[in-house]
Amino acid sequence: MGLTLSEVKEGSAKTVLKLATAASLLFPDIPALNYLKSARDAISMAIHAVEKNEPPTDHIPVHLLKHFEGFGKSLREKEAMELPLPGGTAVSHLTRETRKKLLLVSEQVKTYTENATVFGHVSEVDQKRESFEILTIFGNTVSGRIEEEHRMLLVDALRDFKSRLPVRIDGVGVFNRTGKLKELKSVTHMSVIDPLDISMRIAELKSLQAGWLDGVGESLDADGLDWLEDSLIAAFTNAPIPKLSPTEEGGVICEWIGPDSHFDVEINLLEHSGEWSLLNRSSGEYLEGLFDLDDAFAWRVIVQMSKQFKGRD
Amino acid sequence: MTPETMLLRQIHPMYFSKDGEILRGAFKPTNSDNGFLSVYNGDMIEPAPAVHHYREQGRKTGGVAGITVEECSRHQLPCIDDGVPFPEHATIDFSKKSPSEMKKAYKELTIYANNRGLLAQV
Repeated sequence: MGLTLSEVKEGSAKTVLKLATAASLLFPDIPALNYLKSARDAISMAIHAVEKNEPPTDHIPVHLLKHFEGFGKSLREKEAMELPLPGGTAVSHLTRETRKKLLLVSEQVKTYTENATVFGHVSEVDQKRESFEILTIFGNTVSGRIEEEHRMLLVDALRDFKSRLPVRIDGVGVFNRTGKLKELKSVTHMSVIDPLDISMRIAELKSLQAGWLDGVGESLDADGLDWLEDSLIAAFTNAPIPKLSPTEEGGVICEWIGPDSHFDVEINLLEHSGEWSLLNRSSGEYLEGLFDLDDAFAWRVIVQMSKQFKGRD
Repeated sequence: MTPETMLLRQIHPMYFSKDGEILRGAFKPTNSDNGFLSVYNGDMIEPAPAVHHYREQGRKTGGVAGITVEECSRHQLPCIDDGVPFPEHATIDFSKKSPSEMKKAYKELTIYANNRGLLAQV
């Protein structure tokens, strides 16, 4: 008999903490069932407490909070599991943030785990110690254990370190109390990626703090960057990937440069609009206009225009 | 300065693409620049020492690109050998241009710089 996470309903993140026991069906009044119902309620109320910045320990003893390590680890940013609160229609929300707060209630806890994506370059492969190191795009080093299926890729990527071919690693990371990734506990996916990889560049843009441009330069809206990442990945499956850079005002420039031409779209992340301009020295043209980037047709036009830019030899 | 003088522009790391191209943001004056783009006078300092000098001031650069005075003059961009706030300082003047003219001009400079390639890299 126990509590299990029985399903995450499609299209939302409504979880059902199910009282799993055959006996509960046959003997619904047994005392243990009441304990399980209380446990389910306590979990939901503890989550709700941290949502309100109240101590979860009014509902769950501090030494039991570590069990959240095994629950909600794969939640992504902005995802939430909804758990019913006792006696009504209200729900609590287990998010990355609330889960982290629950795990770090005890000062004794120095680290926690959750899903992590790392972009960077393989800087070390130690086959004797069965470990590797990644120099991330943010300049810190993250280590991990070599798993057999990734051994060749790691060795090849290390050989390519000087040619700057980056890798993307998805797995479970160990984070310190400040949220900094210390190491990879396990790796589920590893691949060599394009130096212009859209997700990698978006991660860099997300990390910019206000003042990034020698004291000026606004930070970029995270929701807007998520929208842009999805839009670009969907649009540029078979076209030259744009070079992305931030604007001083918190926008993003998508840019293609040729030997005598230049095309760019300056994107407003809040309004989903794009000011485009095309300079073509051969024809003497300089054209400008505005795109509504919630319109799929605009992206098709941008992709078509980008195909004039094959890159430099 | 002469028409052949190379004007050295420090490229902020965010305006340097991962495949080695210089992006247009590198040549756009910031709002507080009031249309005056800071460069080093290449007659007075070489690209590598210019990088060193810039970093000594605690500023970020991924390398140095070059534009000649003559290339600027093709797009009606006056170049001023002002020597302020340090002797090797010079300025490209975008201040008389409308926003649209300014954008066209810094796109032009971006093409020149990329065709020439980086003159010094961090």
